[in-house]
Amino acid sequence: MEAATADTKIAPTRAPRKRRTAEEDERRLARFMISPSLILIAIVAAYPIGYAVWLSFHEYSVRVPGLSRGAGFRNYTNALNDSAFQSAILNTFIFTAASVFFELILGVAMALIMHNATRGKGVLRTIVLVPWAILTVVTAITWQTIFEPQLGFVNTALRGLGLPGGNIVWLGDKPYAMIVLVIADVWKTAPFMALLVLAGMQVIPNDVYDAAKVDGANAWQRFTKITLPLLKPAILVALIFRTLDALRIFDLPFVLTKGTNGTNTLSFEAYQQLRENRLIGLGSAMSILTFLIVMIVSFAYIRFVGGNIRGLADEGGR
Amino acid sequence: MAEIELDGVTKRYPDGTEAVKQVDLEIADGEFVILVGPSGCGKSTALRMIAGLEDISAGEMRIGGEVVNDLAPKDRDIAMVFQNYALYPHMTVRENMGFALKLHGIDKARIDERVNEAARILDLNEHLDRKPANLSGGQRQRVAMGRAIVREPKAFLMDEPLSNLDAKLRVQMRSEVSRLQQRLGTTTVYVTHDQTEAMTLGDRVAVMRSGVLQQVASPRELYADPRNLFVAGFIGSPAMNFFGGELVGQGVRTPLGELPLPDALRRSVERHGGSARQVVVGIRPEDFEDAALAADPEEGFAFEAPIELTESMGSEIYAHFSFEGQVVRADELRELEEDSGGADIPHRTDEGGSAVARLDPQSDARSGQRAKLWVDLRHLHLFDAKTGNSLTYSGAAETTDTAA
Repeated sequence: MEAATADTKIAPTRAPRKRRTAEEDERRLARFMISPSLILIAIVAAYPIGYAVWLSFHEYSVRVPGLSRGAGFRNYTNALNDSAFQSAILNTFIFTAASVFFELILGVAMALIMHNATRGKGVLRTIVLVPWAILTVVTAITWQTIFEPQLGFVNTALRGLGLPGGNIVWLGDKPYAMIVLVIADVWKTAPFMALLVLAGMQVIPNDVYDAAKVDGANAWQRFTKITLPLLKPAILVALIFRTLDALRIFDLPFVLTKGTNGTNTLSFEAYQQLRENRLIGLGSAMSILTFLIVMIVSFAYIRFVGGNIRGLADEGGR
Repeated sequence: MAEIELDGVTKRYPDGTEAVKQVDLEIADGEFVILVGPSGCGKSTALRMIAGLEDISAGEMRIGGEVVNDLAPKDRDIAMVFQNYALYPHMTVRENMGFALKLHGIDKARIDERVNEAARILDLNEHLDRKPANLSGGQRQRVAMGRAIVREPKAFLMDEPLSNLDAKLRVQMRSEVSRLQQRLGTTTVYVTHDQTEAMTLGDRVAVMRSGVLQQVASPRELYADPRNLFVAGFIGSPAMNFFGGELVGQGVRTPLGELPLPDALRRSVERHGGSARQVVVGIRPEDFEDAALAADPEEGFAFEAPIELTESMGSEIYAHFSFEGQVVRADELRELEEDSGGADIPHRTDEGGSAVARLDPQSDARSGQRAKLWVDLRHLHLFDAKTGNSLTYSGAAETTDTAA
């Protein structure tokens, strides 16, 4: 790393003139080389996004194809005034906060176990990662079965043990449906969090722990004063990934509750308006709003913790 | 401050390999002891056992008279400097140095005082609020030292602390470490693979090979009176020259000729069990001289040899000469050569080898010519070719077991 920075410092002093034209050639070549991927991205990403934006400013007839009229910001004001959309925002944030919080705690715990396992490391890692490898729809159906009110495992177990809650209709009642949603999501994605955190753990040099031991730190102090601070970059990256993912949650409510009982999320609400109600303009406006919310949250992350990540990465690089 | 005693200390891994075998070593209060040996000789493991970072499989370890076998590192009151410094990357220099004190619940004003004092000694004042990533290698090394000295521990343990510095800085820091240790008077155990560091730093040097302590003595004694072939070959730069030899009558037959043994040496050889006839003759480069310039010619033996190469250092000339005859093939020497990377250089054949002589700058020995050289017979070293033990060892106070 040091050598690299030294190089860049030296570079401008030798033969700056010739360098520049050579550099321009390089750049032209680079542009040429990346153009295929840029074209591809334009086709599969930029065009649909642009089209969605265009749709969101129009009222579009599903009966007469191609018939549409400008709607200005009407779709947006309608969306924002829609109580279903408002509750979808609230539900999405509740879901995101709860699932990311538990995923983080479980992920760190799982990473610690995997990192410190003395034997069977490979097997342990494979087992831990299985939930993450399973399709979300399959996960959802599995949890649906587990929480089935009559014959499901949870209620049968609760009743069998004489514990309260054995008669709850989990997916049919308001706070419980969201709880099941969070449990299913945590079960599925905590391993992913664990994997990212584990990668962060493995780059912490062993002799730093040795130094801490000699300095008098016990296991808990080594965890809180060495491991956690040094894991910060990995944890932040994992948090960003998971938060942005959770904000877009669609498949779990789609399979488990169809958005009922307080589990309506932003993506699901937009889907409802677009597909079920055929309100293409309103649905598109909701999609764009979801997109904006995700973007604002990512900017906030990068703004408040992103700089931190860079700083910590430099320190970690030693 | 305290003395450290190792009593039959052994490190055995679950697969049965022993990294450290039955090491007995007493380090006096305030003493500066160097553990030296080629890589993989167990010196770092021994140090980590003193620190408590490795379990002790057998034997007893005492620090300040207290058995510490089962004490965690944090309860041993020792400080350690690591090869890669092991600074806490997320803490500033000040926090790095104060970390141990903070863990021990010392109040902030007192910590600041001690950190500032250490920073002053190590010239780190300006860098106290920087993080390790923004420091140079030498500065990081000093922070690592600082982290150790603020503790005012019973002992310092240093694991090759200078090996990551460039050559010039290493020499500078070497004298710094030495000065610091003298000033603080703290018991210090210092691990290195560099025999120059070992020779220049310590009160006493403990040479290790394959987990076994070979000899513990002052640097001067190690150099002048090595206990076996390994120590002889390891200590000294350029290294001692070795020739195959056979004891005959009053002397020893070597590729250089039949060297008559002075009385003192002959008595010593007899005392060490003169049954061995096959020996290895060791001659340090400075015990050669240009025959024309020898100070007392009658104490030595003159011979002629083809000079392959001369290296003039100004104050001396290193003359590499070749000889014909049996080349020494001891395990000890092969190990040393592998460690220094010399095994890759094809400079030895079975039919002969080359040796280095340090000559007076006035010598007119030239590459490609034959020269008349002289060897000081009083300083010959003879080793049993089978066991590698010295036959000329005068056996000073140290009587540590050697199983070589």
